[in-house]
Amino acid sequence: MEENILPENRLFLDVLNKSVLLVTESKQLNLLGQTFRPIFTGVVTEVQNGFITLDPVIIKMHNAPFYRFPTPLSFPIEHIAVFTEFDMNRQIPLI
Amino acid sequence: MRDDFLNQSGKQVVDINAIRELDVTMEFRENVGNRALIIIFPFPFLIIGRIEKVESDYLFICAEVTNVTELDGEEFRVHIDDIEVFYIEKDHHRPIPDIRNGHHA
Amino acid sequence: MLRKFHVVAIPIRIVVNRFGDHDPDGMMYVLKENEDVVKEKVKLNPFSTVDLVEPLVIRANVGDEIEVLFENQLPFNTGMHIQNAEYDVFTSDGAFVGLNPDTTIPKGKAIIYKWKVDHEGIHFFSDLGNPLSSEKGSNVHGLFGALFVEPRGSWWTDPITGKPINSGNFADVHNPLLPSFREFGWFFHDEMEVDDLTGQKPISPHTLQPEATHLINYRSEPMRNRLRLMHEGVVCPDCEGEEVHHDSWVFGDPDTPILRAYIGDPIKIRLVHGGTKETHSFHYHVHQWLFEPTDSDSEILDVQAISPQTQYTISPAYGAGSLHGAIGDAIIHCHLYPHFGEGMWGLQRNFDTLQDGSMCYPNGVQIKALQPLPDRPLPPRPTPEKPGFPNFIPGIPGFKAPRPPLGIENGREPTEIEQNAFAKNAVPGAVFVNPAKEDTPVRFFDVSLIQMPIIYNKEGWHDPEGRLYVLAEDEEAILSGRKKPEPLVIRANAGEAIRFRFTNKLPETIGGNAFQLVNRTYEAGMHVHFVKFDVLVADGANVGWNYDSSVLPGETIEYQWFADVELKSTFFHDHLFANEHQLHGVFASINIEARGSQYFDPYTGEEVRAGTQAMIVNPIIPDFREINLLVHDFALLFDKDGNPLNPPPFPGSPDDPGVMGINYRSEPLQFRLKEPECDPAYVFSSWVHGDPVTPMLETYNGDPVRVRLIQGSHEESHSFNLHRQRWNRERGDLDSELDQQKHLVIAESFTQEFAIEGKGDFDMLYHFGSIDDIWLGNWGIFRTFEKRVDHLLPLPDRLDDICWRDEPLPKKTGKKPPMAIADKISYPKGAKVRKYDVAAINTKIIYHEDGDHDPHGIVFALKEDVEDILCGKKNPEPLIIRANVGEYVEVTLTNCLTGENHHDGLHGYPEVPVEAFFPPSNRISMHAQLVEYDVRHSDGATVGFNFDQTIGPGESITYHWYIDQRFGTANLWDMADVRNHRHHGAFGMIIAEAIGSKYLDAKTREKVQTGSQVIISNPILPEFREFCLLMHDGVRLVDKNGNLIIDPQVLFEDDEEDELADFEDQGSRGFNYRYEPFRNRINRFKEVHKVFSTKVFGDPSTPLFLAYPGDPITMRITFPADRARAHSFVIHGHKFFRSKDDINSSIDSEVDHLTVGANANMQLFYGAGGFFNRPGDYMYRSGNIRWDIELGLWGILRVLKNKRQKLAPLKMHAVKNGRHILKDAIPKQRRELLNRRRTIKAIVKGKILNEPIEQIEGEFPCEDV
Repeated sequence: MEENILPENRLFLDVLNKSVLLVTESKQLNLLGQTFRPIFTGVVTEVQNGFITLDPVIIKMHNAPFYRFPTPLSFPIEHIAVFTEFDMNRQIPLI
Repeated sequence: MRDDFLNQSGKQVVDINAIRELDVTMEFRENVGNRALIIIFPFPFLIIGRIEKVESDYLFICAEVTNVTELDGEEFRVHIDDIEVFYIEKDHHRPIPDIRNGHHA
Repeated sequence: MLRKFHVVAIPIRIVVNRFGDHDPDGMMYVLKENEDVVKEKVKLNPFSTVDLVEPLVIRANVGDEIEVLFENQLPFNTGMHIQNAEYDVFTSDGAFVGLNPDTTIPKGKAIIYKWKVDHEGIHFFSDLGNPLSSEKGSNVHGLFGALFVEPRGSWWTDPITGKPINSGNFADVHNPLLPSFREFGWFFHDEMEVDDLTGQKPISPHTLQPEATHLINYRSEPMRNRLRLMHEGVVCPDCEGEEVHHDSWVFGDPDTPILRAYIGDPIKIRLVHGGTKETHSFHYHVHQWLFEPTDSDSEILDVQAISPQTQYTISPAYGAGSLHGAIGDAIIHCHLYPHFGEGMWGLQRNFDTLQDGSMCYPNGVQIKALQPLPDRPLPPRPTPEKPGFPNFIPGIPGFKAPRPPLGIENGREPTEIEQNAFAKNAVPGAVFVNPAKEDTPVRFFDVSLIQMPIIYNKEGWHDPEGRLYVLAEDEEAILSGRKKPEPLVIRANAGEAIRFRFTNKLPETIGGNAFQLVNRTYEAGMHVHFVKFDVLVADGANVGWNYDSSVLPGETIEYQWFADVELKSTFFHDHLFANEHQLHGVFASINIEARGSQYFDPYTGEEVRAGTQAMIVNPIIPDFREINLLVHDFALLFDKDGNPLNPPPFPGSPDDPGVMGINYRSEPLQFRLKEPECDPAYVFSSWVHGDPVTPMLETYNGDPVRVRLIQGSHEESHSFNLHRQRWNRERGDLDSELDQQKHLVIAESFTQEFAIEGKGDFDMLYHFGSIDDIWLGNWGIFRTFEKRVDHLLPLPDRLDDICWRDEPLPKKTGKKPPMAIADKISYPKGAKVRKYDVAAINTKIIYHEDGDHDPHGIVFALKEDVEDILCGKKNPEPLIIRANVGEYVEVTLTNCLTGENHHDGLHGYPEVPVEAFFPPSNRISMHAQLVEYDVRHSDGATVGFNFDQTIGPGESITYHWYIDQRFGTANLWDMADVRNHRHHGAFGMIIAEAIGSKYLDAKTREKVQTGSQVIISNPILPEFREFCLLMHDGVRLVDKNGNLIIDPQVLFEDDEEDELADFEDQGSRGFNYRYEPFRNRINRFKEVHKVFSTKVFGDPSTPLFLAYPGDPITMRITFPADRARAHSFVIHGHKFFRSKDDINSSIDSEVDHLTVGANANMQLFYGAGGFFNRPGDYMYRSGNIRWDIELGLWGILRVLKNKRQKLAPLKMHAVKNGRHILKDAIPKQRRELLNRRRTIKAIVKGKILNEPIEQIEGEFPCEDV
């Protein structure tokens, strides 16, 4: 996988197999009526040239900040606003 | 890899933004027939269903479930560049749960 | 999915606590499957609570269809009317409204209701077969419940057994894609006629007088019963009462709900008001939540005001224990102290160890098992060394909770077991959890709670036992009079830990006068909202199995609060004897400012440590001026001669004693009449009377301002109104409505953020709008200057913007100000100026066709209608005018009043507290909310040093307004005499419509100038029908024979009380000067279910709104007058966004707490007739069963099936022969209620995986976090 990654995307390889906090660009997302700011933490298990995948992945819902989603989730890079290496167990204010 | 993209995009300079979008499109194209979970900012916010096909940068997905009951069963054309979060079910180990009434545990 | 329920309405004895308090005539909905067992259990346990006796909660998922077989066993017609759901109004309204068939049923019959639900949340249902307000009604006895709708694909289990359940208030709700959460139904319920064990009205052992009972989920834990155990020496003989009312060490756990969770468990409290009358204040210690659970920009709350038949989902941020994981008991209560004392409280218990049913509470009672949520980490098992909460606390059952370790100066040493439970970074005041880190900046305050006389105004109204928090460094200056007493307001920045030394310097007792019996108040603390603290040791309270985190007189305790984010003003108060002394002034605020802020005195420029006003200076955000207004009722004041002001019927009575204030000040209107004219038009004028003593904010034009609004005490609703300046309803959400008014109950806190708009120097009135408030002096002035004056420093980042003023400042002259005259207004080229010629007239207003009328009505009317009104051809309606965005409005008002009124000095019914001579003014004016205007001539009020904007008989004035935004509807009202004019009808409505709109008559489609029912036509937007309601109360009516109608009168009441109701309830009520009281329709109890029927009694006198199926409808409602009572508004079969412009807003079918100055705009989903566009009669009404509906606050929205002469169809766009045309929109016909979905494509169906979730869960590669 790594050899195919373009130099422009290598910054994502730096966090491969590490846990990150990742925020995407929209104001809020909506799963079955539960809305949340698109803040996620998780371990980067896959880096592609268009997206990265977190597994396990936690959706930082404000009322359930350590909710682990049942499947891995992939994030198109073009929609990622910020990411940082981050301890998934850290508690942060969300509202 | 870079050349692949250049070939496919028909451009001579690397447009990293276009490449990234194309890569996501290719990921869906390669997984036609599998189920996917898609979260988008626009209505109806969540679509779970089978990937039917990909045409240009549009994904054809037959919605098994969305946030809105009335839209179950629709074949949505989703602009792939608008997909904010997704998961494609590639094997049976990590299935997307079925949340339709009567199908849960 | 189709879900079926068989529900029965049964009579049942409801025992509300273990002391045997009960309603012998209780009524409830119950599932048929539980009917026999519940009846049997109640029979066997006539004096104990029975678990199954609780408001019925059933559940379904979004998208489900629900079929209810409803059976009635009560001796009158009943039904189930559901809110928020889709249903056919002909078959499933659960009421007998207008021309609809009767969908209530008599005893022994059954009916099938079908509902469809399409969004998550609470769908309240209640009986409308018997909506009487008295004990004869059904709702007051408990006939209500709710359908909780969960996300698609959810299922629910019992929190104790883990087994699936069909009904029940508490459930654990699970979903494959979402976190499991604990769901708790929380039904407020008031006015239930509860008897004590002996069948008598309960007596307070403190006052020896009868006492009311306030309930949650048919349970109540009033202080009176627990007090008796102490008086009898059974427990805690050395205690007083209130300080241990919530103490489980003394009494064991209460019978009211205990919401149990493990730290971090997601929670949704489904908060429902099932009661009939009061607006309650739901407060949840330690936890905060988003006002709109579906909107991440929404306001953060920790108090929710809630009126009858409204609902909120409370989902606390970070789950149980909040951000910092606070273990222990967090009390949840109605913050209205009399209700709190009368039983309206429960607990949220956050465990830190696994409870499998093998552990006991310290008093030997078993801790029932609590199933861990399946997607949460398993809590550790209790061990002897670490037994978990509450068993590490060294208390003794039967005695008061112990004091916390570490915090109390010269206190005890911690035990070993306690130490085992300490947080690693334990410090005094944050022992078991401490969210502050080592490098967290710390701010320190030394606070004392003291008693001193406080003088409220120049007339000598005073509280001889004023009690207030002060900084220790200011104590001497305040006691000696060098510094004026005001509520303590301190400040800190986000990210800081705030550490306190708190010293209790209060005397041991209070009272012994007309207001209060002598009571010990020997403990006190500081209980704070919003910020993060260790609830066990720093709650400043004595709750459940926690420590008693208060101190005795002379003692000092340390607390720590952590401000995780920028907040608003954050309320703190005492929690030990709050009901006894908070009304003497024990309320305060800490304002949590943005990081990097500094605070300066606006007059001296010195850095401030405390004060209700400051300049907040920050390097990144604009500097702003801040003023804290803490409003206060039940102020137990005496006049200068020592006479009690509005004393209660007996000392200690919660019957609305005393007066009101803002920051311990008041400026009663009765003292602002200047002889000889004594004209109320000048009460707000500083020219005549000087400035009021109430808080004044001074600004320069353009200054950013944050008004920090808190209600400090004690029981009433208050309605903050400010002239001219506007703010977003939710500060962080620019999609939220533009407001100029804010309803408040005790402990609510809001920030109004704006920058001062306007030119020149001017004064803006702020007032708490109910007549009770404003009469007693709850008003003041915001003053703004164009140029720099000596005494007021500019904000540091605006120093260069403001040049010096040469002219002297105005001073009191004792004379009426000259008339305000607008300079010639020059409009931009091509501007549209809409002109309204309006007269203010005295006229008879007929409220009901039986002849009930207001002979002294005062109305605003278009000049063209005046003659018809005066000659009786036209029964006046409130003036409703409209203008489009971008238009200028000129209202020319002419005073045609004759000056007649029902009195010439002493008003009488409807009364105000501390009644006094106050003759009616013959002047008039018109003030408009939300529009833009120059305050110097178009405010419609004579305020401060502004010139006169009221007019005398025969005079005219033109007000100039500009409509800059589509704010929806707003109030218009007279400001010349709020006491004598407003409740007689001197109000109206203005609506801002979209640019390019035309206003058409609903029948003829001709252009109209006014009307409550019009078509709004716009070339780009869909045409819609606009239905306008002005809800008002405090009305003084006479019947056709001229006999005064004293409301509230109660129908079919056997023991009629002679006493007038509380001030806020006195007077009749109306929609648009009309009402339809039950007494004018029925005279026998058995007719009550027919009362809304047109077939039986004809259409009501209230507005009848007409539409065709599917017609887009916007309903507008305002509340222009008059009392402090808040009302809710409900519409059947339709729903709308709570915030009209915010698509992330909650979906409701009711509007909460309407009060003076309020407005709401309801764009009904899917048009007339709801999702299925069903023709039929849809009731609109108040949600206050006691007394609004019975007194006539209801009406009908009629959706016509076929085209009729009396209603023109809306037009729609079409193309004919290639040309654009408008044609009639054809009413839609939809027959299917159960609108089946398209069958899912077979290709997908075959692929769906059906492995149960449990099997694959073990394969997840990582540990739980």
